[in-house]
Amino acid sequence: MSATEKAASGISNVARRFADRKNVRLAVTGLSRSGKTVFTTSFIHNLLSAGLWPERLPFLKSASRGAIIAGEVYPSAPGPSGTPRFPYEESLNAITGKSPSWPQATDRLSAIRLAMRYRTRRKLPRARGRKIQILNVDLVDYPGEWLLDLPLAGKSFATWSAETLELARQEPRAGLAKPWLAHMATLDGPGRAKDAELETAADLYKAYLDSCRAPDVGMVLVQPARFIRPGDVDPDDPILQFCPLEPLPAKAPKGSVYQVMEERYDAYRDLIVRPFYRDHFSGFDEQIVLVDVLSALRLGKAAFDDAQAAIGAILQSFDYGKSGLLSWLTGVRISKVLFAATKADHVSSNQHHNLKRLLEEMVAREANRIRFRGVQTGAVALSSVRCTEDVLGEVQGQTLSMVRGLPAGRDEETALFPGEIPAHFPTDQDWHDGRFKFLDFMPTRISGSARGLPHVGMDEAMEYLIGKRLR
Amino acid sequence: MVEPVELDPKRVKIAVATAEAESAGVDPEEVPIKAVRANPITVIPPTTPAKAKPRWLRRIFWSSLGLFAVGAIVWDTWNFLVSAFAKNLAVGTSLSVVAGVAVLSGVALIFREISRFGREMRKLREVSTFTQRATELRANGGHGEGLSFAWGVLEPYAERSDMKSRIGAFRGAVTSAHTDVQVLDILADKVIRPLDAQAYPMVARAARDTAVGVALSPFGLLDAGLVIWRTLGMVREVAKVYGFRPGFFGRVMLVRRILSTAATAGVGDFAADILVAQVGARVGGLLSAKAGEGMLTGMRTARLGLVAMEACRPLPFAEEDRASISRLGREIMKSKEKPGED
Repeated sequence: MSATEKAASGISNVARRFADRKNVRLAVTGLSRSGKTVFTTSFIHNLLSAGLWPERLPFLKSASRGAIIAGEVYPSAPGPSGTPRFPYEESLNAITGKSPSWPQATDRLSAIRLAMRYRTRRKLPRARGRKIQILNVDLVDYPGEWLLDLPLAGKSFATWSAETLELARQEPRAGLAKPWLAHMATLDGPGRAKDAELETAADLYKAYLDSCRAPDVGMVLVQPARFIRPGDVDPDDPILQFCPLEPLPAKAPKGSVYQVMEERYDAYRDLIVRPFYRDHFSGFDEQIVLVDVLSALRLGKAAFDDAQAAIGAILQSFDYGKSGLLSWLTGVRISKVLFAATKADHVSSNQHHNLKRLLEEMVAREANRIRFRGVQTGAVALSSVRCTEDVLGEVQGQTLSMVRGLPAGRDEETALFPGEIPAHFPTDQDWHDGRFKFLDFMPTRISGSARGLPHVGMDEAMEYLIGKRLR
Repeated sequence: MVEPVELDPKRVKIAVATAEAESAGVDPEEVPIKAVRANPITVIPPTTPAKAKPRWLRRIFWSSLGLFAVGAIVWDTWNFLVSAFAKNLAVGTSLSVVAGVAVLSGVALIFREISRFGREMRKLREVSTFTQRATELRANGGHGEGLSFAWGVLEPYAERSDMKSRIGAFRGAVTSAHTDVQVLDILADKVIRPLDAQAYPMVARAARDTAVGVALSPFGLLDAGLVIWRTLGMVREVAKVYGFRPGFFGRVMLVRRILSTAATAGVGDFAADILVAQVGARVGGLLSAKAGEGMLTGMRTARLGLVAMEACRPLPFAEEDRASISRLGREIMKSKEKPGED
């Protein structure tokens, strides 16, 4: 952000402080399959129903106090013109329809603005006779993979190559990277670039990325993300035809393999990553980071480490903290971060405590870094749409707390004891097969969904993120 | 460690009775309201036995002061009548007859209040097991026991028509995923806090009554009787609102407070008389002294009411909504505000 831009956004910030209509930009951050779309849908729907039916949100204080009057979704999306609106109605219909299902995987960016009318408790507006205030909440939904591109915004080709190659030499990636690395050995960096060779290299690299993301491997840290989900970029565009290369001792001659790859990387960074970052990923006020702790637990140590590294890489790209008195002149910064362990309803409620502890351990390093910048962080076990029920079952004379629900791909409900969630991450030796069995549950038919969606911890998350702004 | 396992869903039962159970097809009336599980209370012996401090000096002080108060009240009344006789026999006689009738009917009133008090209090459950358990649940920070505790607290309210919607709100808000602390928070928010709002005006009314009564009553004995009668009534009303009666310590505390409030009301009168006699018996001075004394008694009654609320509340007050005199004022203002006005 340039100095003028900063000053402009600062001035608009000051203006906003005195306006009766306020804005909050909420960053919903999470890798793919961490449940961003469902979170966004549930967030909107539960907030919209909070005026008439506050029962579902006992811990969103302004709702339980009865201060929320009603909410409305803007017909057009916030942000740069041409941004598609988040398909809230479609997602809600998918979840609450006759044969409930999860919304389609997100393959493009969309945004939505929600206006909440509420009675304020603050003295200044009340004294001015403006008891009823409006808070606009902006949310952005996007393919989670794209987040992993954010760190590229500030990296040169050489740095990125070195990091990526280093990562590819560690198991379990090393095994998957073999075909690609073998082809790379035949490439002559300073030599003249041939289109066919480059294409093969890029394709092999893409195949390697795909195999990393296979469900049984579960690696999440894959860059560049548009190789996986191109969005509106043509997959055959040369801008997507590159891969990391070993650094050269001398400057690469013009037209060489290395130089072409570097050029394409730079184009990718400057034309795709940076505009995306500038248009949609700056100026956030609050952030929620959705983490699929259960999957990390199921897949083992390597997947856990990888997820941790991916979260670390992503969170580097956000602006945290207040820089003293004049923070409002230097642009908006994230002032609160909430880490959420999603899909909490896949284990019984008495395990939520341990789930939260695990999450805290997983993000400890990042949380610490963020807190150092004077930003508040919190953790919560979350289920955006609860689709199981707590039940008790007898197993070998022991009564176990289980969850009952309809697993994906089955016709019959089942009762599942998914294993005991430990309070700390297990060591390598403890991580054996069959310790956990997590099933993906489908949403159940929700009666009275107009009154809000059943959830776990959604109201706590709302209170944490926007509760103060609704006072 | 137990390995992961799947079971036939027909072989399992719903873990906790909640609103979810209702939506799952269980008739709301059939959701069992379980009695609270009486947890064994662990008594931690003090590491160093408390030294027995000499208490006798304090005892002598208080009992002599109490005796003095009673004597003063009787003396005050006696003086009043004697002076009336000295002025005029007819006035004296009629005044003492009226005073006698007043004393007798007052005593009858107090006795009736006491018997009613006892009768109604016996019907209520004692609160102490609940407050103890709530404190325990908060301290443990566990999961799964809050709901059965909450049903126990709600049991006395099951018949009350004013509580139907509140219990409904609690049921609608709570799920099996909430931790014990969260269940207590929701219970406090949806059910108990509205009861506080009902109890505050009762306390305020009693405070006003005693203040006015003491300011108007001509002699100390009447003051004391009035205070005892009215505060007993207030404690009974407050207990009825909460649906619980105070535990042993609460009772002891309340009785002491009632008696001391009554005694100060009586002695205050006597003291005011002496003061007025010394300073000069100006009517205005007498009136303002009486009014001040009424104010004092009113304040003491209000304090007593707050103590009664604390003693009857099944969930201990959270720090932010602890009862206080300033809060009492705010709550009364709030109840006067028409809903929908803001």
